[in-house]
Parts: sequence; C-alpha cells; structure tokens
Amino acid sequence: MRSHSLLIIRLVLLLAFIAFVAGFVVSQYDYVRSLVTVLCLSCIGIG
Amino acid sequence: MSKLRWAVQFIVLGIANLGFIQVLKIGVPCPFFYCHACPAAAFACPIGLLQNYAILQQVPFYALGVVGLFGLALGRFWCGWACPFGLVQDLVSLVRRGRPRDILRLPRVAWVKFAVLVVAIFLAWIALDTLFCKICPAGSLFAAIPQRFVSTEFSFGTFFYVHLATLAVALVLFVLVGRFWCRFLCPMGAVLGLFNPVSILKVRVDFDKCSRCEDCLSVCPAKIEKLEDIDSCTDCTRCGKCIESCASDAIKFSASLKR
Repeated sequence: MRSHSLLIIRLVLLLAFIAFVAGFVVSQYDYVRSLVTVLCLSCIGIG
Repeated sequence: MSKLRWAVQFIVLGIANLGFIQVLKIGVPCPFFYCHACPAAAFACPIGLLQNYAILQQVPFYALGVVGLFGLALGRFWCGWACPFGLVQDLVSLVRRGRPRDILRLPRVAWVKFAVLVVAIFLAWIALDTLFCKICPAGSLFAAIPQRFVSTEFSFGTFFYVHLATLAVALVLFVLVGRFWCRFLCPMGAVLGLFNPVSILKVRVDFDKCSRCEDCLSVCPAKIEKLEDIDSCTDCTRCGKCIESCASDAIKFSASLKR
C-alpha cells in the first residue's frame, strides 16, 4: 500500500515538474540565463 | 567510495565553472549551491533565482520545475556528491584530520535551514533586493573575491568587506563543525531535503542484517540520530559514509520507483 502511494506521489510530482519546465521554459529561460551571462554584481552588492 | 566522491566533487566544480567559455553559460538552475555572479559560472543559483523572482513578484515555475526534477531523482545526493560549497567544507575539515568528531558539538536542528530559506525569499519580496546574496559566504568565495581580480565594474565598497567577514566566520565554523552550512543554514539543502522522503535514490538500511552497532550514526556528517531516519530525513546528504562504515553490509544505495 505504502509503495503504491509513494509511486503515485512521485508520478504526480514528476508530471508537475515536467509541466512547469515545458510550460514556462519559453517565457522564463531568457531571464534566468541573463542572470548568468550579464553578471549579477549588484545582486551580491559589489557592482 | 570516498575517493570517488572527492573526484565527483572536483569534476562538478569544474563543470560549474565552464562558463569561462561564453557559449557554455547555459544558465540552467543547478541543483547545488554555487553563485551565478562568479565570472566563470555556467549555471544559475536557485536561491538567487527565487529571490529575483520574489522581487519581480512572479512564480519561478521553470526554475522550480528544473530543481524539482533534480530533487525528485536524487534528493540531497547533490549536497553530498556535487555541491562546490560542500567540497569547500570538506576541504576545510581536512585541517582537523585525525579528529573526525566535531570540535564544537551541536545538536541536530533540522528546521533552521528552512527558516533561512523562507526569510531569504521574504526579505527579497519586502525589500526588493537580494539581501541574502549580499551576505552569502558562497557568494563571497565564488563571486566577490574572484570578481575583485577580473571585473572592471567591481566596487570595493561596504559589501565586499561584509562578504569577507561572513566568509571568515563561515570558514571558522567549518573547522569547528563538519558540514556546518549543510546542516544548519543552507537554503538549497532545505529545498532538496524536502525531496529526500520521495526521491528515487535512497540510502536504505536492511534491518535484518543490521547489528544495531550504530557505527553508521557515529560517522554521519549530518549527525542523524536514529537508524530509521537515514532513509528519509531532510538532513541526509547521501554522502555514503554510513555505507562505508557498516561492517554488516546492511546499508546500501538503492534506486527504485516503488520503494
């Protein structure tokens, strides 16, 4: 019983995270990447 | 296994710094603690991302999805085997070689890192600034100090000294307490720790073989106190020291979808 519920929880989480990535990669990836390419010196307070 | 773990940690440190080649600055959120303000960073820091999205008043679905997939697969294995800041702590702890126990003995307090995570995001949301990043010792070591030597935009101001101070305090604590950051303060460890009970990779104890000698608990860097907790507590970094120490061969890594 416990193994079945664990399997279901994992599948639900897996599908949710895949949906998050698939659904938002187009709209959010550029901003995420910009933090790495345009160095976020102000983030750490030295720019 | 410990040699393999050292090797993996150094390899991941190298991969995290592949961003010195511009095209390899892929910017995918990484499942460990490494500052994306490092001049050579290839990945984005999830904690920095969560704060930046709190400032934007948006939900970082993409970053949550990526980190969630990493966490669901391996849980805090990333902390024990991949995290560059974990590697720093392991290297610092070498100075007390021959003395495996902590110089300063602290009880296990699992909730503090969750409080750090919540406070870091809440402060970013309220102050509209990445305040946690400004005192983060990983940011000090991997970003502020390297930037001091390579960046023309560098400001040799107050926060540089704040970074030096927090790093100095952190390094002293790492000498006194093994994996202090991972055990008590790491917000990334808090995020990944949530996945330990459901991750596919686990450290399993076979209680039919276990002699209850508790050698595994005595070597545990996370200071887990009960054999039953090894499987799913939020503190286990899957470092494998318990597996190495078990004379009964009762502890193993296990990967299963159903268990």
